[in-house]
Amino acid sequence: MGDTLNQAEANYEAYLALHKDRLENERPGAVALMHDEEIVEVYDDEDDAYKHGCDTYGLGSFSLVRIGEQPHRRGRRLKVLT
Amino acid sequence: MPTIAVEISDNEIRHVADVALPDPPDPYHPFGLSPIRFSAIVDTGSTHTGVTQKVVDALNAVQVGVATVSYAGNETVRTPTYKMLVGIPIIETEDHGGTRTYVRGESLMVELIPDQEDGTDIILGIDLLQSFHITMYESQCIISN
Repeated sequence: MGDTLNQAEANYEAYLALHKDRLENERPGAVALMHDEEIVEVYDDEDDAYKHGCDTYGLGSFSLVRIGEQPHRRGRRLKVLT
Repeated sequence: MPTIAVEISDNEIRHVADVALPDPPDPYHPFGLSPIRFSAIVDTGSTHTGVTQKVVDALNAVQVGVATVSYAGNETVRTPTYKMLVGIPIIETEDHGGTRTYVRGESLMVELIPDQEDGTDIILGIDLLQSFHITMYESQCIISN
């Protein structure tokens, strides 16, 4: 899990596969702190989750997921990131 | 109330934005001791603020999450997200022989956007703009704290 991209991506895949349905019922709008593909804790405040992640695991070794977040919309015509 | 008027040109509102990493928290320097300034565009059609790789590299920002982004053509892609302080310089004053800049902004989860052909580094989305009073009138965008 040394690769920061893999940590965030792996956590997100795990969230979608294992936690999404339950958490969207229980804590919509909250922020899940994830480490090594597991939910560590769920916070009401994103800044609190970020601080806990930094203090406990260090940047690059955790990720945050906003529970129930809809896809972001882009208004300006942009090239699509591939 | 601190205010800045930005000229609307070609139906676009171009300004600048200051960015910094959120750590270490310092109430006296909420935007860090040395925030970095980039070109920015106000985009009321974007739900979230986005930055190019140039901004990420300048801050040595580390990915904190993943966002799903829907583009105008209904194409949906995933993109990395980063925690950053993003602020709009509202007013600059001469103070004790130097220039003092008042910046107002928020701690946001910003998403990576592709490099822009027009050189824009930051798209200012509604997640940031909702913190401001914004009026558009006679080819000016008036942004207040």
